[in-house]
Amino acid sequence: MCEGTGAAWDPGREFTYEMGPFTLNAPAAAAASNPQNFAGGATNLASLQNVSCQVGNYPFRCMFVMSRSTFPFSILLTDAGSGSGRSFVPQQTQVHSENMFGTARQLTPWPTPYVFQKNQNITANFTDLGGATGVCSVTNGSPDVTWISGGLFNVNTAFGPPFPGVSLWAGASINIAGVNYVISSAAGSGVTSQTTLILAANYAGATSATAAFSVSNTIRVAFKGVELANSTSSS
Amino acid sequence: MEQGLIFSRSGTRQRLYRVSPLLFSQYQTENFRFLPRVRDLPEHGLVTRFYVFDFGYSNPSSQIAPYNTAYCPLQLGRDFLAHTVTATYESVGPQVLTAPPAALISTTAPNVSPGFLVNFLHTHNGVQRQWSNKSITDQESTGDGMTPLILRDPALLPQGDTITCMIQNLANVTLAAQIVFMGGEFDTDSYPQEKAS
Repeated sequence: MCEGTGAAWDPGREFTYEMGPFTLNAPAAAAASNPQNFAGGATNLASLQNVSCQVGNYPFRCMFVMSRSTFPFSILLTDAGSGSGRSFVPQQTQVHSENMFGTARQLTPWPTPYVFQKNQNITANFTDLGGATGVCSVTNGSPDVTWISGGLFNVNTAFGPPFPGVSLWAGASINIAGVNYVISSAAGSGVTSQTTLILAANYAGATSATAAFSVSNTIRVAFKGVELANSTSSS
Repeated sequence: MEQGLIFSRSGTRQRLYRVSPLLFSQYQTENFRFLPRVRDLPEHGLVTRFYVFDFGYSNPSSQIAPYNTAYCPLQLGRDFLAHTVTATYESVGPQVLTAPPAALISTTAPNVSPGFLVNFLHTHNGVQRQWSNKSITDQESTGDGMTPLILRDPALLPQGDTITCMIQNLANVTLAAQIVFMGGEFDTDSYPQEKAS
């Protein structure tokens, strides 16, 4: 069934490209261990430019997109193989992850599939919308953390009707002076303001007024579709 | 003649429904209720495009003050068929990177539902048409990435037209919101896609 294309329809072979995992607002920067998929990469900044995922030896017809991340993020997706680094958003506006991605149970279908050409890169700019890095004050034996400088504690709440008033950081991991702790998710606890939060357990390290903290966002993005035969790749 | 898979719900030819495997995870066989009348998803001959109405995620200065109304006009660069509409929003605290005065320190920002009212204003040849008789809530007008709102018929937005998203914040807190039109653009000459003809 050519559906008006005049060419034999290539149903393709099932395939998924994964971009990541990589981490924004990480405790320390790290080079990607697999640069082609940018797996293992980390930055202590809130954004990352030109994250790549290389398409293999066959054109790839992308039909679904999915993602998994600690917090919401925004993304500007581009096809580096289009010649001009074509962006999928004419205004170059980054798209919120909740608007663009589903999960394996409820995938986001692209209304029209997009063919990435073989041996080219799918690239994207990412911005973390949930995490932060900075400096805080902590006291040994106390669960209280006080913001000193850098990114403020996130008081935003999860979106949508099911979670009204639930702090985005409730139950999240926070790295303080190199050690991971959990932010309390108990009612009336957790992030109590942009400058104060409460841990689920007492801080066990040395008392410090200059302890580095980071709440990281680890992101994975999957492109699901089919690999096409080279001979039917349109041009 | 319509294309696409046809599943029978009753076992008789009189009760056949055309459903989409692409939307099965969202709506199972009931997805025939959400499909565009004249096309299945996906289609080809178009290039995937997203038109993004951003109110504070990509540009924090565009966040909407309590009870305020905000506009985001976008001009169409090429003919565009909008298929689905998604949205997200959240209440936000001020994003300050230096020590904030005590009066500005936010406690946890509450979310509300519905969060905003929305309407779309489509301007074509100087004539403006709105997509609903009054602004409607986010839950009546948009979906999300997992369950996008599928327009019953794809909406054609011709090149040069302007589509304006108008949002009214219903909360007594600053709101960040973003609405996205997903669809396809008639530009297969510039980008090597599977052409329609």
